[in-house]
Amino acid sequence: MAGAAESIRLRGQPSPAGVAGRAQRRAARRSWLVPLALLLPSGLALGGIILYPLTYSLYLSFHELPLFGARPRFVGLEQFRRLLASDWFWHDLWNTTVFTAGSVLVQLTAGVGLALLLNRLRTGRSVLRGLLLAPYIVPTVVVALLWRWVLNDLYGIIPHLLTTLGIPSPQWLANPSWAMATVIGINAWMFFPFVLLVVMARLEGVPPSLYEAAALDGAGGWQRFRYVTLPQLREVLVVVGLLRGIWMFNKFDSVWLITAGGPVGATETLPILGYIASFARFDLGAGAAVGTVVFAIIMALTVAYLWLLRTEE
Amino acid sequence: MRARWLREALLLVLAIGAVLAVDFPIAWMPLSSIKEFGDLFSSPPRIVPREITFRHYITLFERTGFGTYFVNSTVVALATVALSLLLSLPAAYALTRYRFPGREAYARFALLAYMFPPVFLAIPLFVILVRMRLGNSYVGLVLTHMTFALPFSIWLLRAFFRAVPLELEEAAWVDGATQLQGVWHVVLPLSFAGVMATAIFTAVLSWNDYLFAAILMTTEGKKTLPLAVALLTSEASSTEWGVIMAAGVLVTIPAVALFAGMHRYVVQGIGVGALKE
Amino acid sequence: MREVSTRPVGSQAWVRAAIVLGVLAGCLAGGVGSVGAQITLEVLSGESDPNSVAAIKEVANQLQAKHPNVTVQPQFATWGDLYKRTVAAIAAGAPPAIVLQSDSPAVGLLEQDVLTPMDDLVNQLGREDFFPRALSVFTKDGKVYGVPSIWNYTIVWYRSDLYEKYGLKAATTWEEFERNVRTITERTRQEGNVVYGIGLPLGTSSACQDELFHDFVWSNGVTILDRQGNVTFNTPEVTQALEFIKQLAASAPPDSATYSHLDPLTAFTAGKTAHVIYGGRLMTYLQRNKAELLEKIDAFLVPKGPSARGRHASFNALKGWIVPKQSAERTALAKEFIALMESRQNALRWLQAVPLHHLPARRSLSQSKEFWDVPLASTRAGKAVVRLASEATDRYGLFATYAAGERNANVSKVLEAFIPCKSVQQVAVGRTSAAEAAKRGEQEIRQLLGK
Repeated sequence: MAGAAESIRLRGQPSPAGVAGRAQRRAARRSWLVPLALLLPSGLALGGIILYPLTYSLYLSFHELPLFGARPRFVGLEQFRRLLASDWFWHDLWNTTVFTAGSVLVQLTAGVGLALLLNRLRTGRSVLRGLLLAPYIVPTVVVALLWRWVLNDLYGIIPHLLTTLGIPSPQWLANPSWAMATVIGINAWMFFPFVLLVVMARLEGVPPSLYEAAALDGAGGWQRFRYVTLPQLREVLVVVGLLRGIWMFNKFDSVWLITAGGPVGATETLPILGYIASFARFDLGAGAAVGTVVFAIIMALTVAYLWLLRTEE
Repeated sequence: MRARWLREALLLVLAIGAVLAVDFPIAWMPLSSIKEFGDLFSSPPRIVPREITFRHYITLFERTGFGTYFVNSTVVALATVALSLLLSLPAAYALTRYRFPGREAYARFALLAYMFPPVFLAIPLFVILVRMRLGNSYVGLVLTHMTFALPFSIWLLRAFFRAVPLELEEAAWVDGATQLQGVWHVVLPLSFAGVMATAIFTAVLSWNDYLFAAILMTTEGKKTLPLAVALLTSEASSTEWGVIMAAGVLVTIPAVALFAGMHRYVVQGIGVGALKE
Repeated sequence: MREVSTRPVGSQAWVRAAIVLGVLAGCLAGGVGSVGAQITLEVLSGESDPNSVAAIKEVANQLQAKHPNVTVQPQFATWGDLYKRTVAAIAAGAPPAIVLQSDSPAVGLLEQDVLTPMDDLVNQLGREDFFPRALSVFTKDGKVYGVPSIWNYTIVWYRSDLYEKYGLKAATTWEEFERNVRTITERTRQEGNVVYGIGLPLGTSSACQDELFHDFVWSNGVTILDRQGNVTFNTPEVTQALEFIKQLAASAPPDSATYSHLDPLTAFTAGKTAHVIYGGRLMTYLQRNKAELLEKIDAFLVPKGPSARGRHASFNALKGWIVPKQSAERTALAKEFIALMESRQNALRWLQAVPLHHLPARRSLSQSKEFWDVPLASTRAGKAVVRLASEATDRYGLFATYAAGERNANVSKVLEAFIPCKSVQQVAVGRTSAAEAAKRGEQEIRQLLGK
């Protein structure tokens, strides 16, 4: 990820000449006091808002709280044992995996596809891109309610349109076999604009000369895509894919608000399991244990992902 | 050449088709919000209403404290942006202009914060904040919003600051400026698009938050919009779908307006960030 | 290259910093809250209907007129959240002054010993006036810890015009009920414009457990925890109830698995379903959206189940005022508020906020003409409610549906974990057999309660 600016910084010697303050500047750059002062406020905030609750949550996952406000009772690995022995954990883990993989795939495909399409246009590109941003801007709550309304079997517009066109319309959210696909679809709809924006920005930075050279070499459309566009996009897609993967794995509200994990647990993901454990059953220890496990999984997957890519290079 | 023009037109048609398909459900929302009961729940659904009514909007303000929720959401969003910029601007500057041990670790830690599911941070945060008597308060909610706003801001601003070459700052120093002046006159103006983009994204993230508001805000007077809208379906006081759609419209408009007005910065900002990563 | 002036860091920067700090300071100030000799009494309930809120505010004004240093602050949570909020607030040391709590959760609080005795207030209002069962819910070790205020109920509403058309009669048993529901679905489907027999809240919400599961479990004569607190979920009667819900679901709209509170109501009002299990609030909803239906609907009590102990019963929530333990001054003010709230005129206004939906927990009010004299009572729907309420009070126990054994803190836990709802979904939406679902449900309950 090093760029021109980075190399300048690494060289890092202050430029010669300059009168007043030169000594001050040198001293300042070598002293670690200034960066410390600059980092302290955010560091404290991060520590207090994230690190401390994180460790507290970790701590809770080794305890049992019979009632909210009661004293935690140390139970060692009992919460984890119970969690991993339950079949709903594995069921929800599978759901979460399917949800994450499906959402990321569809988001990337839609985002890249539409970015390529818009990139070829000469007119109206900016306007169309702006319009395609809409799903990302609408608040999650509104998206959830909107899609529940629009997919409603009795008065929803989409089943009506589909049946008018002769396309069979299943119970999108009520049928356990379709619910997950629908939730994936809605999530992809919500988040593909992010991919679209990033990819389009990247594409705009690709010098046209590369395409021209490829065309001169006799490369057709698909080959140009494969050998020019894709390598340029690779870096961005890797990062975006990872980010979206993490986000989707952790997603709570954009599944909960649509189906609450139903029907019959068909869309119950690990974050939802944690939420129910903590705020419905008030079993804070169990909820914290789910959180710890999810965190561990994400860490492991991220490390594996990055390592795989490093070796590929 | 005609073939070129034809292909361009075809692509345009495809693109417009995509936009229609994607935005159609969103357009359905305001359409539904002005329909009367009969048109809303007719089977088969009617696209064009027989009569138009605004009573759902009136109901929204009369039967729910919608005005209050609006104010709450706005206050929280502004405060979140202010606080996160205040904390992350210096941090981003330090991370890009200095070398010191632990620099990469700090940046990685900020990213690490994102890996922890928010729903699990919510549990201990709830306990901590309630004990500090910050439950059901603006301050408490803004603090919880820092969990996603702060890492995000630090990370984005770091990318934007990186894109501003140190050379330019050094040139300013040559001219006798202090470091602070260098920041003010060189770095900030050049990364303005990025800072604006960060601010907008942060504002939208805060505006849209459901989880922390649901857990922390308990009284009518303190609810934010996403929470209030979600509760519209779970209330036994039977709020109808027309009102829910009206609520959706009103909640979405500010977010859309923000993005539309700042579209420029967002795209510019993303572009710089993406290119420089 | 930019021109750099040598003036000190601009005033602009300081102004901006000041604004930012000002915003933060403002928030902090807001967060800290008001200080002084002011006392704030929080009144927490789930009654967010504007008329109900207005009724509370009216009494709040009356109290504030008497005590200028007191502010009464109505607060709301959904019924599902109410218990959690109360418990959390008590645990954090900042309990609300007054909570309108419904029965099972109230019992939970009773067992935690965090409530103030209310015998003095109950005596003041007239102990004999309260329905005995209402008082018994809030009683522990001979002391009463709550003032019963509202009784809600659920009955089966049906389209009387469709009944007439297809020659159907009000059902008194499950079998008749299912037959009516199925007949309407099949016949209307044949005619081309299907009206589904019944709308069911099969989604994951409290409606699934309250209005659906409990109605049929109790009308089959059992409870999921018995008087001694043993788990009685895996019983033939509960299995029968689950099986029956499955049969009903066959005549419900296809995406009933997404239905929560609102949807069966909407479907009924839109004319897409012929039955709905709900309370009196239906009438207010119809009044607002489709007033003509008020003359085309009637109601019967939830039919008896097939088991030997089957009886008419329905979910009803008894809601009463409780006062968590707090300072003597606040307690006195809280009790004064409740006394005002339950004084005749205020009580009538409070109950009539949603007419014929809130029934009184006191005989004097329940038997007064004033209470029943509302415009809705002259509609066919209203007359049905009046008829059923007077029939049911003594004969069918509408006002006293289930044994005290059911009312304990453990039931709250089971309901909040949505275990019964899961069982319903497994049977009605999934492919699990009722017997299997009952067995699994029992296992889960045992695990939850640590039995």
